[in-house]
Amino acid sequence: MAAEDVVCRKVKVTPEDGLHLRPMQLLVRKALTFSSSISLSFDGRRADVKSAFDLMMLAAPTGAILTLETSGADAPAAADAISELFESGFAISGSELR
Amino acid sequence: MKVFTGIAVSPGVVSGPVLVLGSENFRIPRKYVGRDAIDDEVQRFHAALEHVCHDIKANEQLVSAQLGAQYGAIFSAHLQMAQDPRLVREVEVLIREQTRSPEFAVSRVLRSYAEQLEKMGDRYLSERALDIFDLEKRLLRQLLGESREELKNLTEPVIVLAHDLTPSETATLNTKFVLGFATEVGGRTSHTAILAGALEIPAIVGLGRCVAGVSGGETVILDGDNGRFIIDPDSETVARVRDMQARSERIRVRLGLMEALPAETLDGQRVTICGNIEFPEEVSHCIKRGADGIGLYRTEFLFLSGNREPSESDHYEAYCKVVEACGDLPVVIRTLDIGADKVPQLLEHQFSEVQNPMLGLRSIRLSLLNTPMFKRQLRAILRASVHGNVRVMFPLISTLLEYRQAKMILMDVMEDLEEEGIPFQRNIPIGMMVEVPSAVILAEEFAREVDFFSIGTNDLIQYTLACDRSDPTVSNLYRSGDPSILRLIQMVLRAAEKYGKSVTVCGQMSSDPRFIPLLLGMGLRSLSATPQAIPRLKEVVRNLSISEAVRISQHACSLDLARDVEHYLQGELSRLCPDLVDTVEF
Repeated sequence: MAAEDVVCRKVKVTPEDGLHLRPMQLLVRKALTFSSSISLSFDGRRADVKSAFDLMMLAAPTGAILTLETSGADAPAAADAISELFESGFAISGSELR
Repeated sequence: MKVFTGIAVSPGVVSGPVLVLGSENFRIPRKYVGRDAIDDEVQRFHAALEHVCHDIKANEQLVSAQLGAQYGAIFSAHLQMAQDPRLVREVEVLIREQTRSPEFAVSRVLRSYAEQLEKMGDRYLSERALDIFDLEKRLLRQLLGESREELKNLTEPVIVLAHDLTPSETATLNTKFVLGFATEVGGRTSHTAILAGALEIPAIVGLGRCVAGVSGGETVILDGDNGRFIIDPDSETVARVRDMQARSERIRVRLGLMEALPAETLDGQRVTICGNIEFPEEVSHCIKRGADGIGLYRTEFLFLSGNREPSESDHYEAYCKVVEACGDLPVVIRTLDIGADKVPQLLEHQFSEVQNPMLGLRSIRLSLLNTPMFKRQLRAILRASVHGNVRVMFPLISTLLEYRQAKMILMDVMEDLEEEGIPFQRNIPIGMMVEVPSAVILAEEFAREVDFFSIGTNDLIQYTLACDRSDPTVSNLYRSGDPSILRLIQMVLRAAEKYGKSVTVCGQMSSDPRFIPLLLGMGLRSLSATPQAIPRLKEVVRNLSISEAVRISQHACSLDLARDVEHYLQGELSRLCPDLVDTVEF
């Protein structure tokens, strides 16, 4: 098992207005819990998922397919967690209703 | 006298001296720093950033506590920007590699982001640019040791006029002294506008350039109803506004008194007036206005806010908030009433483009087709029922079979909970929305089986008159006063009375003061309305006797045109409550 894993996936932007306020907040929050570097690429642009500004400027519209790339010690877990957020359509769990 | 017109974003009319907030041109004192000071300057930047993050967190807590979590979320977004590693990295690079001052670096970096966003031509992203400027101001103020002194040392009521107000400035306005505010720039959906509405002070944005011509201290009138900002009004205008305000104040005071008074007719008949809500935060609006409970708790927001189906605990937490806030007062929770046109992603694959969403797979039909989802909601409702006085209601019931199926699923869930040893209210009242004509036609059959009816006049009118209320080409058909609707309501009331079941009207008709005498005269004793309408409705009830109401309803029901019914009711309302009539805005 390599010390530094690199995982690559495709994810789809499902929210109607693209990655707006809530999805962005959830992505940044989730990404920060992992040590790996996590990026989303679209249309030649690459965003560090731990950066709110990067995500804002990715300007990925609804329906867009993005490339998720994680690299580091917890890369697989990070990739799973971020993909899950996309697949679930950015669910709000109970604690986040507050 | 000068009149400027902008976008009214929060209603109300106020007058008073104007406080002009100077355009904050932050004078960045130095562009560069000495090489040997670089470490110190980076340190200074981090200290300022930490301070700002602390302030933002404090704002978020304050605003969430006072206005609700959805407003607080504005600030958690600001916090994520402030803590963005890219921002920190780029500012540090400018300081270390180009010996720029922190002030210059912060401004440069943030403005570059704002510029990029504005270039994208997306209205939503452009508004995020405003958030970036808010952050820039906070950081610069911290670094330069400046603050909006003018807003901090108020001793008298003023009306604030500024080029712009950031969300944080708006949220922390001292509403004791700030009567209202107006800005030169800004749009209806900016965070500033949204916060103004929540704070309930009159506000206008997008006035255009006008600050230059105002020195401060002049008397101004801020008309948040019409979006007009009047500087140095002439005596005629002043008098007119004063009259308007006096009248509004009289009405406001009188309606304020309604809170503590019961909705009781002149001849002692008590009427139940409850509130319709969507968010748990609205419960306080209802209780504040003396509502007798929540007559309709629409649960759709749980399905719409996350783009996917909520979990049982999402449901449970929201319901508990409402139920606990109501104490002993009844809360009627309506199960999912979502339409096919607002499909949560999860269920999209079940159907394609439908021609008639109103006649399609929605509401109880969707629930019956998705038993696990339905059960999740029902479980949460039952679990929450031990914390207060809860009733459950099924929407869009069109056949007896649907009602029986829904009830059976509820019974299944009760058995499950019992087996699991989870407490719930076994004899929870179970009711249905009456909004489909078939349900009215079989009202007696339904009355035997339900515990209560709630007439949803909005959809009932659409289905009965076969018109889409959002379609302007047929909106003239959508009339609450249509004689057919009145007859349908009578049918439901008669059937309910025969079997001793209660009836509430919860559609827009019940929020309209003109219809109160009619509904009471027909025998209705329970309404559920939008919270803002409750004091007015109480006022009508208190100015009415049942015998009068009966007379009015009999006459109204003898008319054969909707237009005549509405004119008649309008006239009767003017007679009963003259002051109320001009202020009816629905």
